[in-house]
Amino acid sequence: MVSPIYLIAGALGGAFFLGMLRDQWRTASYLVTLAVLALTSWLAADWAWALATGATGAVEITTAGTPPPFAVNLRLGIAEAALVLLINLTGLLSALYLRDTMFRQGRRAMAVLLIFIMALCGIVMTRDLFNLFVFFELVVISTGGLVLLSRDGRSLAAGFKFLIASQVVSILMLVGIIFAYHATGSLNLDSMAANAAPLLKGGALAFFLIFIAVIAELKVFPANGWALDIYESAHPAFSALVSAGTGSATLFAVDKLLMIGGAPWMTVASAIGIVSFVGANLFALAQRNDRRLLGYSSVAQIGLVLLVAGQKDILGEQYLFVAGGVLLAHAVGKAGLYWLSGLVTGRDLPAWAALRGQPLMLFAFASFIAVLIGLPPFPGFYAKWELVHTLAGEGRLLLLGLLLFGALLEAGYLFRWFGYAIKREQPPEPVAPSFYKRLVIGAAVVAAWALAWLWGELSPHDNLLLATPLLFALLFLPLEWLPAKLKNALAIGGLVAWFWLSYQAYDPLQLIFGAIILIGGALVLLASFQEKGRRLGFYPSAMLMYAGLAMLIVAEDAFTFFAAWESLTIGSYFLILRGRESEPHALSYLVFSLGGAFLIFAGFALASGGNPDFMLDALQQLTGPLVGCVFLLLAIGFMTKRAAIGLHIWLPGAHAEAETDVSPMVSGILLKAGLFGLFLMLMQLGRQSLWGGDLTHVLAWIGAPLAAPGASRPRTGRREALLAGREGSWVGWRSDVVALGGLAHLPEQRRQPEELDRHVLAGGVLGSDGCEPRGEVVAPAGHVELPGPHTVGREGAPVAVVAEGLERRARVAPPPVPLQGL
Amino acid sequence: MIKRLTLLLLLAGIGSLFAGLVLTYVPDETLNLTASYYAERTAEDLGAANIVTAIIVTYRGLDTLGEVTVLFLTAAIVGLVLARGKETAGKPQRQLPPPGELLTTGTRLLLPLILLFGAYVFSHGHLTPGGGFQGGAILASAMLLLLLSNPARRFSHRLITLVESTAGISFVFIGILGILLAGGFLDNRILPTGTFGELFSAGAIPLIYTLVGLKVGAEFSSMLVSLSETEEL
Amino acid sequence: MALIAMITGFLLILIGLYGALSNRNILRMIVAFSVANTGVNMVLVAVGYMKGRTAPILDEAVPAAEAASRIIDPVPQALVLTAIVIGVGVTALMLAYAYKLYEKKGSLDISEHTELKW
Repeated sequence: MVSPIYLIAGALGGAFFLGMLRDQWRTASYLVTLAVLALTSWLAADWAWALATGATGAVEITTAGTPPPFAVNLRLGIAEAALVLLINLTGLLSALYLRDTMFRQGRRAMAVLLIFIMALCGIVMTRDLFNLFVFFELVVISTGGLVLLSRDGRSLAAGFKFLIASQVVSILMLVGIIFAYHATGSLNLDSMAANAAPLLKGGALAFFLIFIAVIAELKVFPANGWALDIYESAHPAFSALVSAGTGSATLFAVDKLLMIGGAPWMTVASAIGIVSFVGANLFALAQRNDRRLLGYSSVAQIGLVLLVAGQKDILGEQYLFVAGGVLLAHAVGKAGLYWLSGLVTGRDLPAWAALRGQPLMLFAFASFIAVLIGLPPFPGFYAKWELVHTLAGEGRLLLLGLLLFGALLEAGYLFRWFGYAIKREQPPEPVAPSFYKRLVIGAAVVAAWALAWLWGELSPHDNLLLATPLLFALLFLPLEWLPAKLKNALAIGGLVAWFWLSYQAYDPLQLIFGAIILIGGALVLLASFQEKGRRLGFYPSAMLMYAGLAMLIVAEDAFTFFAAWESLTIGSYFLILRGRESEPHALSYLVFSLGGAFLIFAGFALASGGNPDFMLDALQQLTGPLVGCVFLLLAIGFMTKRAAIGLHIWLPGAHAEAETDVSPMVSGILLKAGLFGLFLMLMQLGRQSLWGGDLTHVLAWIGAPLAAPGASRPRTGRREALLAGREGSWVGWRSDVVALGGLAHLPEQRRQPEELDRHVLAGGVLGSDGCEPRGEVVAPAGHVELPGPHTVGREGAPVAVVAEGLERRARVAPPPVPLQGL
Repeated sequence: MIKRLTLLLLLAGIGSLFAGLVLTYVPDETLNLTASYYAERTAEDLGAANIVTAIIVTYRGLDTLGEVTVLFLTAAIVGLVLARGKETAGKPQRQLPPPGELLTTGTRLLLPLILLFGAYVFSHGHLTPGGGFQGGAILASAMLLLLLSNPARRFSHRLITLVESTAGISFVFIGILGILLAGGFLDNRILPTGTFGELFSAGAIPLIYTLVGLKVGAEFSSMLVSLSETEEL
Repeated sequence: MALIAMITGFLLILIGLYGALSNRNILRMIVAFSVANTGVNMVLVAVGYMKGRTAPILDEAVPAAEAASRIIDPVPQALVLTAIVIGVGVTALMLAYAYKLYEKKGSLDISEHTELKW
């Protein structure tokens, strides 16, 4: 195999060679640049493959025929190979993206780019402290040079500020290095790690200086002022390189230093990391400029990886999986978004509505956001699962909470941005038609999905991307060009087929919910046959939601349950977003749902005690004071989906604004997910007390007080549908609650599904289903008689509900007649 | 006011760090691990008399490669940013006063001496104090003298860049030869180490350092020329 | 002796940093950084010094056999060479920026050039 030293020597040779070409030979220079980057990428890929498949072990490259620590040496292990591949590929793609600019600037700019990439590879591979410094300086200088490529005049000031800050940093680093050398007698990182004790005793100050300098190079919050200006004003392809390339390489350098520093420095790194993650995400909320927002997001994500680096001791073998997952997801997503921003002319967030007519670009946008946040099936999801569980297992609950909080903020502002792109008015400036730029973005999308598959394979859990329901949903993406009626038929066929294939294996609880979801879903979709056209985006979203629901009811371990939960959340968000004025409602739905999802996540993590392979049945074995907390977390999480009091504000708007056939999907089927979760939780955990209060009773009574007044209010006018829909949900909730209350009145020990009185269950669930009249049907029928609050709490109450529910079912005439003109 | 106060606080912090370093500093009694290795092994392994040169060119050759690249990078960027040479090529706008007699004669006298001295320094890097960087800087000072004495004179960027690039590629090539013919990248033993203390000894070190000297000289000259061309005559 | 050089170096660094961060004229900032760089280089060289020893060059005065007991630490000298060159490189780059900034706004005052806020 070719020695990895050629990654450095080759790029340098290429850069020097470019100097020999005439300035007018732009094409030749550009081709040489691309060729060099392609060769180095291929070399990196070759090594990454060999290391990943185990064909070779990590390789040490010595120079000058002298062993370390007397000469500089490099190392290429699996982590280094992955990073080097990332850096080179990003460089190659950015060079493609920068085609026009490079042609304009000439061969010198191309040489600077080559050296930039080479220096990043050097930072990753070197094992020598001073060599690290030299490569850092190379990165700084080439960054300063490439910033000048932007046409934005503000980039000049940004670049100058950057140089000043870097000078200060390098002064401190040099002082630290020389005193560290004095303390240990060597400049080699590995030998310094072996002699860590004398270094940290006598040279602690020196190490501190070096560490602080490198952390400052990372540009963590709040010391990130100069970095943001660059992110905002430089050419987007270059911002992509800085975010993906420099961020990754510098993080790896911090990791190398932490190897020397040990435990106290890891705590420092974790603290800086989490502050950066939460702080930068908070600031990102307020940003209106797209590139500055991405800059803050970059700072936040780098903080997250720093946090992971600081938790290396408890992550153990999972370290590379977790850190790599978050880092690669960040790099691909961030680079993709920056490249995408080059297509949009306006810099305001709503200006991204320019992408509205471009389904491929919208898909790219959605993919990048998903990979950045860590939604299933992307690597961040697997990585965060392991990380959160490890944190819970070690009792680092504050970090866990802050981590999930920061993630929620991130999801919030990123999806708000997506909402702008889908719903705002298209600005007059067209999207740039450049072929190369789209090619680069396409490559990034492919990379994102490839990583999703790869991390699924590497994960100890099942590969989510290979789950049949999810694949079925994704199948609709390439079929988007077909007419809606055909897709509808396919969708209905798929739902029914899946039910038919699986129902024999269902237990009673799963059977009921399976019927509601799959058969009910197929029935609801029948109404969609009347829609004409292609309905772009409807079927993948709807199928994603159904896939999540289908996987939810058969989930046996917490991981699959949570993955299914998030899938159905995202699918339903996209569905709700399709409504006319639904932008704010869809966003609040998403934020509440994801917030609830993270609470469920936290609940599972606590319950599992740090075991990421937690089976749901094991919830039964939980004992101790922890159980109350877990109950509370899970309950609140499920209730956000069920739209219980306080967590319901998204519901009316979403229902009203959603398309006609989406409403019943959301109210009748989607909300059942929350109900399923509550059932599951109650059966596994039984009655629980927290701080003396019986939580099951709290649950049961939450919906009751408000439902009755809502039911008796007379309604007229155009808002009938809205009110009826809302009221229907209230009533539906109340009926669920009654069913649950019935459950709660059963003896205290935890129940298996088979032991339940099926009538109680069916009555409660179906009753609530029937009690949720489609707005279209109830309003013309006039005042509806509803069970009053006096039925709650009595023995035999469930039976009463069953009777009413079954009666009402008979009265409701299928299929629902869509209301005209409302 | 606040800014100044923060700055003073920051400097006070850094100053205290420095004070800590100074107070705990204990000079070595004997050479440490790496230094003693270099002291004992340089003469027989590499054949170089100047140990610092041996470290720079061979043992820590990768650092030197990076350093040389820094200069290349800077020259390229400065050239890119200040590219006005072609535009102002031609007659100057106003009539320049002639450089003084002292300057002209001095230049004519000193220029060849400076160039010779520079060449001596970088070619004898392995024997006496000095080396490629120092020699290259001296060469560039000759260029500076020329620029000062005749500001209107235009230099060929083409030639400078050619020298620079050729030297750079040769450096990388020699490094790769080290992998193929000797122990590793930038190993100087591709050429025989010869007799200790002679000009043609220490393997490839004089060759590398000569190339470095030419490259550094060319790059500094390029930077000086680019900067001087910004002057509007 | 080495201690004096070290302290001087540190003082130069502090003076240089103060000048760089408190001045508004771009050229003065660059000069201040030059001063700070010189300070760093002095500190670097001072660390390697050992009392009573001589330069790490092997000739008739210091034959190869006695080298280990007669010479000072050669490594900091090698490091300082690289550091000087890098410092020069960054200085040249900053000067190019200064020229471009002046060309853009006609002023060398850094506060006129900062448009990007939080």
